[in-house]
Amino acid sequence: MPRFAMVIDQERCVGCQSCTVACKSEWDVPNGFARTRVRQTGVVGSFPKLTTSFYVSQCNHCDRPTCVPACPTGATYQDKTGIVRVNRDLCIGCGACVAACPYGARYVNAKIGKVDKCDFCASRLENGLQPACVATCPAHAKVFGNLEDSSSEAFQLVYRQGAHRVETTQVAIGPNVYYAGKPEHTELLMAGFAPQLPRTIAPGKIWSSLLNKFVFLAVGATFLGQAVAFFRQLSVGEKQFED
Amino acid sequence: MNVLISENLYDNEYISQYATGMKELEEHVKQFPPEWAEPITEISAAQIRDTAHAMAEAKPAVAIHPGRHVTWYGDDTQRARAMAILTALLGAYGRKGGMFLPTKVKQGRIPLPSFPESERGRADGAGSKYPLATEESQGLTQGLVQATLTANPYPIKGWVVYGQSVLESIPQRQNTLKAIEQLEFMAVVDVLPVEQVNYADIVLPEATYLERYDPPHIVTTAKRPYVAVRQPAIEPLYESKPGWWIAKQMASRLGLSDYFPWKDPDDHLSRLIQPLGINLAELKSLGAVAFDGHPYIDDRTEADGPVFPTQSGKIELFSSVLKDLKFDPLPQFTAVEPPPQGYLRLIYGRAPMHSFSRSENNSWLNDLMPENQVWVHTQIAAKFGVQDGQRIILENQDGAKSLPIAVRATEAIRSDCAYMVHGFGAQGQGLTKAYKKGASDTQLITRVAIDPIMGATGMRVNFVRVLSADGERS
Ligand code: SF4
Ligand code: SF4
Repeated sequence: MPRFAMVIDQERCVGCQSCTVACKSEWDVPNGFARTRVRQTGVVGSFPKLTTSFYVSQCNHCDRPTCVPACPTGATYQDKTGIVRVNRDLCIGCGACVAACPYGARYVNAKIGKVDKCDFCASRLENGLQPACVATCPAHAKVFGNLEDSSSEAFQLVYRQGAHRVETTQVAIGPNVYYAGKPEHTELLMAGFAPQLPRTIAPGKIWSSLLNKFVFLAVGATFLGQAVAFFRQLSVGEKQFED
Repeated sequence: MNVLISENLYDNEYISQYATGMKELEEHVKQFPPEWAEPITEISAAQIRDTAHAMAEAKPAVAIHPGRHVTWYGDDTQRARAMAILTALLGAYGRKGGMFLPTKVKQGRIPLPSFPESERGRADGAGSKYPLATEESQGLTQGLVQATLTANPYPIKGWVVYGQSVLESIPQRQNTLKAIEQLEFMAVVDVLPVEQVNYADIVLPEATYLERYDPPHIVTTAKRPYVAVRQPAIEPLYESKPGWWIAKQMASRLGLSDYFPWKDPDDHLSRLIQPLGINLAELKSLGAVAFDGHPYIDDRTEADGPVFPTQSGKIELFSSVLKDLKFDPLPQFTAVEPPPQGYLRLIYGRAPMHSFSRSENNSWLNDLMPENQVWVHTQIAAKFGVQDGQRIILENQDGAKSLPIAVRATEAIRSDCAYMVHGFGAQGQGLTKAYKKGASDTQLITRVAIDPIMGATGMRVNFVRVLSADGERS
């Protein structure tokens, strides 16, 4: 089984946001939201000796994701390759996973009433393509690959060249987006964008929001179907995770 | 240059083989030691020496990049020449690691009937008032505005504006507006309803680049020359038409169709690329085709023409052309006027997600960057009592005011400058997303410095102050 990872080279990224736009176009992401974002860090030093950097963020497809257990329906699950995915048929758009992600990687897509986030362009991968952001990056600042394959560029960057995870002592859930760059890049990144402790939404709230939806949508039949799929997904999902 | 020459670190062999005027240059740069440059550049003499040594060490693999936007203070030809001379001293033209020499590609010719002789010549001064501004180049926009305003050398009655937002991109907006008022007729060909369409008698909506063919992009100034073709991904929407169609139609309605002796873009393209040994279908499917290049002196052939296309066929360190025109044959330093008390020099540039004033209304790009900010040094922000994120209005030395713009207090700028991304503060109401978002640098560029040699417009000669902080937070 491959183990997918993304490496961002902070020395190469020029902050052009081509990746963001490629992703938006590929996945029809509404304005104001993003599956991948680019934010400038602060600046260290004093003029003219300065360093700045860009934080390219997306879902980290964490080894121990906090979003998965937060999901009340099992829509959010981790597949065998480590990609954390959202099954739209099961997602009720409650946003519990959005709150539970320490990296702010998820959003509720109001157009479809479902949660959305990066899935490493899983459907492109199946067709032998690179994720859209990687294919677009003009600076070769995003490297996608399989960490089980020692000849991959991603493997080299992670295990030979010291690309690192963005974690803190409080939040260490094994993100699979790695960052390469100089120590000052890391410092800038951590100063501005260290992961936040996950928030949880009280289950009561989720269920009441759910209830509202059901009342308004009146989708009894679909609910049954979804419930079946949900339980199936739960068991399948778990099995996949154990593999 | 002073260090390279006085310490004899330049490429002697290269200079004696390919350049003229070394003696004059040697004499000339004696007056500019690093100690002279230190207070001007704020770079220590020691660091200047170190830099020269590092360059000498690495020569000829040194690229002195001239930059993208080079018209600053009206002495820009001389600054560019200084950089070019430095490049020559390092032996870097046509050598590995330095500057590539262009490689010609054989383009097909589409013979046109001869153009009628003009007795009056060009109005913009290219080739006459500014003898070194080439007539083949796009001309001098500020020269055209001036000619329209003054009816000198002759009255100009109409403009056809294409490929440019004249009010957003030409400085001294006040003059451009006055010139437009004086016109009897103005047609605007544009993709977007930018401000100038409000002043047009006729607007011809052009299709976007995703809906049209453009002339082939033939690039010779690369390591390998290449031909790239832009082709429509979809049919033009609504009433918009491709630029080539508009031009050809106008010509034929004016009885000038002989000047467009091709049927359609396919016909035009295939005739232009005919001698290149590729066919149109191949080019279209590949998008771009590169050819062998001869970027280095050592691989030049006869067909490439002279290595240095000057009168003497050599690099002219001392320029007799400039001397004959009574300009400094070797670059002289001209001091830049400092900002007056309480003012900052206005500088401007681009953000990677936006192109000029063209993209601010694009939904996705607008989402990434809906407006610009004015960067000022942290200490200056504190001095002026403005907070990061606070909206202010800028006023320039002539009293021109900006739209409200948010402050970005940062270490990443000199403390005597204010910077903003160009292209914002649009005045065209039709630009529903970009209209009046952020501030326009062009609106604050009421003063220009014209380079007497090439006629280009230097725009970094404007100063701004913080006029009012209304306290609103962005
Ligand atoms: S980054 Fe957030 S959404 Fe992605 S797997 Fe980790 S916890 Fe889940
Ligand atoms: S496309 Fe590449 S260079 Fe541009 S912002 Fe994204 S990662 Fe950085």
